[in-house]
Amino acid sequence: MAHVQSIEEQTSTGLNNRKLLMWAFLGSDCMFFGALISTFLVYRGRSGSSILEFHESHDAIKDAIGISAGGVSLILILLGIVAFAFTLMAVRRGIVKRIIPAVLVLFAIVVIFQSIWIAGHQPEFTAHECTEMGGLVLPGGESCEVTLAENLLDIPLTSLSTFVLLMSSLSMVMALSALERNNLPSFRTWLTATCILGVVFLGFQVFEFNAFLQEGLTPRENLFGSTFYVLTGLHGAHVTLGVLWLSSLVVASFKGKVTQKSVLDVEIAGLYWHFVDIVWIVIFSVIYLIGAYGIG
Amino acid sequence: MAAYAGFLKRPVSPTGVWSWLTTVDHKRIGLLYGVTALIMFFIAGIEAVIMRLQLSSSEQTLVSPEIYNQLFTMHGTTMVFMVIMPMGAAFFNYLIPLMIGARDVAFPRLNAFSFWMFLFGTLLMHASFLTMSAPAMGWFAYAPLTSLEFSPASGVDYWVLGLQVLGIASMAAAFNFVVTIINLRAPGLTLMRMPVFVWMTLIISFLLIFAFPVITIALTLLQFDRWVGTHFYNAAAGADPLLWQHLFWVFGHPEVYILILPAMGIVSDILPTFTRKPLFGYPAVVFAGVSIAFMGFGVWSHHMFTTGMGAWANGVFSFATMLIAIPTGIKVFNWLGTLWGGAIQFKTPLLFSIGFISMFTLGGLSGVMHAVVPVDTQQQDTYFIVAHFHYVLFGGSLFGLMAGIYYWFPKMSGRMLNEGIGKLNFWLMFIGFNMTFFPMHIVGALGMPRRIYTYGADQGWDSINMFMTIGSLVIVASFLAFMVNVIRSLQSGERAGDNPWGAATIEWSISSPPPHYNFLEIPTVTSRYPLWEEGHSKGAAQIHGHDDDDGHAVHMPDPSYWPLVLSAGIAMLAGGLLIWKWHQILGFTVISTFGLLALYATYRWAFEPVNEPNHEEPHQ
Repeated sequence: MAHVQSIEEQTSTGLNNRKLLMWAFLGSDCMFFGALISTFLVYRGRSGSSILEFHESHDAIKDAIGISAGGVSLILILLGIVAFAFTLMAVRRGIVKRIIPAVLVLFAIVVIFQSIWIAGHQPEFTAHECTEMGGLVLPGGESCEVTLAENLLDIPLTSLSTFVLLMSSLSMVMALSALERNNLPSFRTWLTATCILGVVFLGFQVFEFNAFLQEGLTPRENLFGSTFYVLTGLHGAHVTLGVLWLSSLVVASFKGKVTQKSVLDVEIAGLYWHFVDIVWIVIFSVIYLIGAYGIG
Repeated sequence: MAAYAGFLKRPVSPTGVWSWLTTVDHKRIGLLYGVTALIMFFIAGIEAVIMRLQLSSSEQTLVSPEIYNQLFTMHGTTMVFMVIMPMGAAFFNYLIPLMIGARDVAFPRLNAFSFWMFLFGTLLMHASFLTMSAPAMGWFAYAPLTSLEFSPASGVDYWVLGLQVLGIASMAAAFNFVVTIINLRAPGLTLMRMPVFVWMTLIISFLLIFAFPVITIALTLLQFDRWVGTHFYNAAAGADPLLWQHLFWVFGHPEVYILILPAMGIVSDILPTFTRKPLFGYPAVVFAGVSIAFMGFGVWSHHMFTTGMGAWANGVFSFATMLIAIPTGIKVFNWLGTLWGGAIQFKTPLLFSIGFISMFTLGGLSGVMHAVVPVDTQQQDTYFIVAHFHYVLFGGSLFGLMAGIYYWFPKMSGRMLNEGIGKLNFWLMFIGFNMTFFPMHIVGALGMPRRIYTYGADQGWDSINMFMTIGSLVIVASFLAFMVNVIRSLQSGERAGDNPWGAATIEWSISSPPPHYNFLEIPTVTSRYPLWEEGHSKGAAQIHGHDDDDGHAVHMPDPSYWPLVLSAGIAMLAGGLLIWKWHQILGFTVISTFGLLALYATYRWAFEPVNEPNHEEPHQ
């Protein structure tokens, strides 16, 4: 990234051209999310109701190997933390041939974890849950008429994923600061941590999308489904782009293409990353906090 | 870097097709924009003439109602997004670096990318003609009319994706010009010394940056409705039938100023040259432009007075709309003040400028009429509206852009356009324009609705429509005169010299056409009209960059393949989405292939140096 400079020996304002471009882009992106969030708010409380069948809980994993999906997941989370630590250690020591396997293992753990929840675990849905969600048990006691909307949201879970994303902003700051001090191993470690935290946030999002799909909320189900998936999905696309960008910087730094001279390149990527985090704070407040607590 | 060159070596040729495909020179990109816009102007003009012929008398059967719908939709879309906007972009690209004393824009490759995106978006949208189902829902494409239920044909898909691609082009250009104008000004060129055209470009760029994301979202939601089956515009599922209208016009009204402000900038720079006096009230003209842009974001609902928003909303938007007349009026009076007492030379650019001022004022006045809600309720969807927006977009924008072409053509080509043919061009266009569009006020007031393919003989609109059709043919004649003038001039036009008009701004201090590096030595600007200062005789500042010096000392960015490859990749993502509807696996293959290509091009672009270290400068 050291060579992307355009004509920028001197500028009229003293501001760097690319940094100014990034600020202009972020201003523009505010309107992008502004339009989406406005649409979400306009459509709050307008969703139609769905009819869901009652069913028992089912755990295909337990049937197969005798350990519940929750237990396997717990093991996977612990393994994931270990793999996370291994990756960071390999990056820190600059041992490239250990980094790739570590990242692959980490990636595999995330995928297996997700698959277990998608394939193995199906929560029960009973008359009790129906009334808890504000639904109406239909005559016959077989099904429930309920509006699938904010009542599906899992605030503790998303608070956790929000925490993960905010911590990635912290590690981004640490990465930039390490590069300014010309401490490349530390820079790589923090930046890798940022990427992984970003991926974990995306993992939470996939998990949440799957949970909602299992409960019957698709983008076609009602207006909440349409607005929820598109708004959080486009934010997820921003995070994905950020992860790609930051991980490219990590790779480039191993190739000697990111050095202390590239502080500005990293700072600009960081601006984008922090912006995506800040937008998430707004989305989290608008969808989850305001929605679930019925404010406004 | 040699190891990184991969299978494509850096393009070096200064001439030939590849040099144009890989160019990052703002002047070449400006010309590409201009030529493409003129071709699109020709196509949109044909569509307009067919519509006029269809309407020339009652119960005509020249085209079917379906074709007629496609014609007015594509005419509107093409004129707005593929003629007037890119023609403005042609002027920004060519002139801004010359006017601010820079060698190129801040991001030359991004600039090339913006042009290719524009070209591919244009091609994508016009590809719908091949499917025999061009978009047919009007240029503002009101949902839910555009939803799958009411518009099952693929025309809307082409329109949506084409507009997304065009949007990327406009945004890329806008980011580039904001940075260029803020950061690349020559020493001494303070903001309040910039030519008004540069100011207007800065304002338009900010408008694009803040307005385009909103239409991007509106289109994205429509895409999800049409591809995934979401309910954003499905009133049956509880959606707001006005959501599209709000999102569209939050973008659409700033868009109106995006279309008119370049012309205002051009005219504000032409008037001083042909009156031999500085622009009257320069700060007022600049700040009027800024306030028009600000207010432009707060008036969108005046397009929706008849949708039943309620008295409060109507009242507020009506008031805000009338307020915009104030800065607009300030500009008109300042232009008149510039003409007043000037040593006026009636050259063609000035004629078009005066045509602009008078016709735009008429359009502005009918605009104020629409701001009055009860009046608007009468005029909504009649030919009165058609008359209004043609007075501001044709009488305004296009007359201003024509003035710009006549004014800067000598700088771009090195040759003068013929004055005699130019005057013929102007008078034909002026008369034809008024013959075509003035009577639309009358038929509109008589109740003739817009977007109808024919009307009954008992309405009594026959003769007036025939008159308008003849007028449109006069406009065609004026366009032919323009083409003859351009071709003649390119072949055997009089040599222009550096400063044929005795103009005052620094683009006239260098040779015509300018060398590829623009200024051999970056000039220092000491006033708004540097070439009129003492010590600068007419066309002075000869020291700045001339052909006799080969410019070897100036390092210009090398050409690059990646803007073209990246934009092709992104455009084909849109193409893949179209194929998806017809064949999912094929569509998926196209999307993933070109997605990877776009990703690859992005990386190559990011790691490509501005200049290859080990080869000679491509230009001599």
